[in-house]
Amino acid sequence: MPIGDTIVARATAPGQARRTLIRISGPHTEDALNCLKIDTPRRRGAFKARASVFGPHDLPMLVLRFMAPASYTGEDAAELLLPANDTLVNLLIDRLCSLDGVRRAEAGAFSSRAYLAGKLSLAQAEGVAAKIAAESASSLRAADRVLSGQAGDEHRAWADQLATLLALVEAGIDFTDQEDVVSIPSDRLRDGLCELIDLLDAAIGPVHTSWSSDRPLVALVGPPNAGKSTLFNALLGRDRVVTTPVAGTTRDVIVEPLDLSIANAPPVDLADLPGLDEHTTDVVDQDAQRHATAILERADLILLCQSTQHQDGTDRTAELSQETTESASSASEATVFADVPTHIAMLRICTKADRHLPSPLADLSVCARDGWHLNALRRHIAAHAFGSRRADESMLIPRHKAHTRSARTFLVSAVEELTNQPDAELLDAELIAGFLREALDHLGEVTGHIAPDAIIGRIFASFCVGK
Amino acid sequence: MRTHQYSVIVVGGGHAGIEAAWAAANLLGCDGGMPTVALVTLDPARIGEMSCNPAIGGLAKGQLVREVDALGGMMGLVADATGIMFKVLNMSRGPAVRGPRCQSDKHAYAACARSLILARPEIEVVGASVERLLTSSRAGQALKQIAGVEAQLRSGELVRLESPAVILTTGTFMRGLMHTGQDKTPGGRFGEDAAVGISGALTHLGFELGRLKTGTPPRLARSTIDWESLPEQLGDAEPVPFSDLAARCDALRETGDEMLDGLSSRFPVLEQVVCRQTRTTAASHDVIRQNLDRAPLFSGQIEGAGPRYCPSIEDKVVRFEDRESHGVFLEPESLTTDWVYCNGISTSLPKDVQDRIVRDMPGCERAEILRYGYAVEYDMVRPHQIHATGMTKLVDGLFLAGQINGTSGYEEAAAQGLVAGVNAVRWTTGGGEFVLRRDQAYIGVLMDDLVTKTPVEPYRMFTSRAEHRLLLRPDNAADRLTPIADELGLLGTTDLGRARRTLFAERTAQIERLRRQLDGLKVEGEDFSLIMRRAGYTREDLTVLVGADTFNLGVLDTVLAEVRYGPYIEREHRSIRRQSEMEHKRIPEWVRYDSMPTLRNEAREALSRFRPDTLGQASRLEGVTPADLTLLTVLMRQARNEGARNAGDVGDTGS
Repeated sequence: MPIGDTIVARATAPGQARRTLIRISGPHTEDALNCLKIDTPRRRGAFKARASVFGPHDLPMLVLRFMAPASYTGEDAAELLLPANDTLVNLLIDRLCSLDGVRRAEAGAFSSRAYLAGKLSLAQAEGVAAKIAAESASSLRAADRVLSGQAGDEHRAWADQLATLLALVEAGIDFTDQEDVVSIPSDRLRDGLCELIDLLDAAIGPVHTSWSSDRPLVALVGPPNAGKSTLFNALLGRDRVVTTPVAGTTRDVIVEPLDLSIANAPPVDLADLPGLDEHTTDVVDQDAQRHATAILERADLILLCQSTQHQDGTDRTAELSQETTESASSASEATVFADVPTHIAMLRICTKADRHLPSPLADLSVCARDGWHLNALRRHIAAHAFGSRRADESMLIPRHKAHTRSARTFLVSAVEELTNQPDAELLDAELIAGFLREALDHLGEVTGHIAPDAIIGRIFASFCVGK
Repeated sequence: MRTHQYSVIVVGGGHAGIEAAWAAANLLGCDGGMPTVALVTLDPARIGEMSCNPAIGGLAKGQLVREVDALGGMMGLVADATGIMFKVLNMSRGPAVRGPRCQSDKHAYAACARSLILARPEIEVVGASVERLLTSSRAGQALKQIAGVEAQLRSGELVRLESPAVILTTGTFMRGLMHTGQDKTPGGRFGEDAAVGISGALTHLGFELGRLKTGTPPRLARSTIDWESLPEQLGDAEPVPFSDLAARCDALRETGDEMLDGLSSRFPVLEQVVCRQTRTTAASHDVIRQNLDRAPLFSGQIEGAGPRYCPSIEDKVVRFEDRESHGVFLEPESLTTDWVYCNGISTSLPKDVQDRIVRDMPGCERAEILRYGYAVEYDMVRPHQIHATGMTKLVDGLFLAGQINGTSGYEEAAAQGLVAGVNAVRWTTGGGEFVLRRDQAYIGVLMDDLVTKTPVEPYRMFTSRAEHRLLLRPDNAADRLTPIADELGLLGTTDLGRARRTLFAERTAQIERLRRQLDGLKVEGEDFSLIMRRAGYTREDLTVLVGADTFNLGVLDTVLAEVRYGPYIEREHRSIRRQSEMEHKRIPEWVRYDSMPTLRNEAREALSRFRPDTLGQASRLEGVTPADLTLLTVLMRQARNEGARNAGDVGDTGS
């Protein structure tokens, strides 16, 4: 935690309030304001200002300016009060974090600065920390895991695995004059790294998505052309995705926040996934499918959509009922939903339903075109999406998650670099090692730093070095 | 007692000592013909001796030699003048991790180093053993100040050598004890005495000493080896020198500088040799196992910790018991003698076991052992007691360099000698500290590691110790360090230094010209930088493009490496900038860790022991976490504020 950097974070819960507060603290506060072309006097006070985000001075906001040491943290600080819009807020924070010396604050960072500056007592700081942790049940569990040492053990195991791989790469750099030392083949290294990435993924959830959210995730799943996208648009109340009668129109995963318009129900994220049974060979499609699977793994509620119509419009109710009565391993259901995780709450939706015919297979029949039963569906979502957050969903507290995610990014860079290498022989070992070192440093932020000496020690342990 | 006065006294004539004296002489210049630097050594005839492997450079070590050279040091010049086989290691790897190395004619090397030292009017070589360290205490100063040494000349006469700066480079000589089997002989090197007085003097001053061990293999008579029957080990077809000054000394010699007599106008200077390879056998491994009780390393006779990267043959046989054979490289030690160095079987086993090991090696059935291998144990000063300048934290003006700080290797020693030599002069003449950063040089990594790590074995440099190794390449050592050398004043006092300055200006101009020529260049519509970045694009390809002989090879290498590593280097610079503020923040000397109860015990102990100079150093101490550092900065701020309130109570020198 380098002192002298500047931290930025959203200070209000996402999604609900009409205004959002972004808090900035640290010596680069002025630079941060300048970067948004916010022009306010350099003194304590509240100022109306316009920031340049998409165009010149297009975003009105209220800026509260604090000068060190008269602020919550004791540092130069500012608070920006602006219209609540997740995309906008994320964009703004991303832009600020691209400045040298500015980074996203981990949970509790403002309070810990306040504590260190003598502005808060330890008891007060702990009170704040507890409150932060208590905002969701899952983060309380994550905090418990940290306290019990369980999370640290995991990070240590990952760091250990990575250190071993790094030692094998470094051995091929620093000890090539030793007859005994052979460089690790690139395919073996790639396998080792992929295995590690999978472990990190399991802990952090899908990092492939650019969006990150604490809202429950509701996924629309089903065979191609089951009407998922039509339902998606209907729930959102606008045409977010293109729909056609052609099967497989939706190729990408689309996630949108959905306000359920039900009292006391916070918003959820609604994901429209491409049909999962496409035996595609297209690389782009394969990627989308992987992405979809990852989203699915993380979902809190799955809306399993089935159409009662054939593509040609003929009725297939009888067919469907026969399939389900036959057995669970019936060919079509098995292929279509082989990838659907069984431990996630699921609602079977009959789409394109004719309201005059009862549907024996679905929990709910809806008609997206005229809105029939859509409100019932919203109530179902509200009832199921919040109760079922999986126990291991937030395995990591936010700071650990951020570092684990960064570690993963470097590992992926290393794998990409390796994938560009046709030979089994490891090329550019020093660049690969650089990525692994950075990844290890990030894991080290959780477990404690692993020094080069420890890496070199592993080499001595595994090779006869010294001629 | 006769008394002599100097600006700097260097104790020890090994690779650290000569580099320290050389750097000090470069800075001080010739002051009216009177020597300003004393180099005190037990036997002046053995200055610059290669006690062990007659080789310079290698992986990461070659980078150190290039850096010492870029700073006006002597190691690269001597190695170029006396190398008998040059080879760049890791040629199949990227430019950052290649390691220039040479086999040296060990007698020519020592002779060349000695003649360079003797040619300097600034340096007086004193053959004597140092018996006492002279210190003084000044009123109001907590720390003692070094005042000089008391030395016994070889005639037996005691003399007093006075100086405000003393550099100790005792190598393996402090309470040196050599082991061959159960035989123990006091001494730092075969046939030479140990230095006993200095250990006692240092302990008396309050230093914590440690004990290390290193070993050396048997030497064979080449005429008794079936040389031609063994597989060859060849050097590079086109040898590459360490120094950019190699083969450039002809023009200089006309200036009449006698220093240059040892250097040459051609490269390589000496005839090049071929090494041979053989191996140990399973039968001799059995003999070793049967005799482990007679091996000082296993019998408990040796207390010091040895290097894991250079294990003795008995160590290898025990640790890798399923191996039936270990490779041995037979390296001629000199063009003028018959001696061959057996690289790979360093040992302290008894002589009869050494006989068996050697005679079991193919080609060596009738080999005569000219000198048996031995292990040597010696005292070191645990390096948490020095600053990154080499000056001790206990005695002002006292500097330590080389194996006394727990390192091994000629190159590591030379690098520390240079750092200590420069800082000793700046200590006496009032310049600021000379400390290279970890992102500037392997020398910076070395000094920083020494002051932040607890050594468990003799410290050796590896490229993996340098987190910014893409920046610290052998090709750009001059770009990184020669301007610094010039600013320090290392280049202005000699013809050699001025020649470096001229060469560097040429190089800089060529690099600029080549960058301009390549900037925005497209070949068949493709961005040339992308073509250059491909693995397999070599200097030869670039030469074809820009034309032969228009640029120095070193210039091509640097521009190629810059393009190749471009995006990665950019990222490293960003991360260096991010960390720089904390990295260089000084921790004031008045900070008392024992009065900071909120620090975790482990952190407080580490900080109290090492007393780091900067927050950057503190961050690399084992047992200090990022959270501890944050707390420390706050406590420092609070302590300063309190100090300001109780003005006068705290000697706040600011930071």
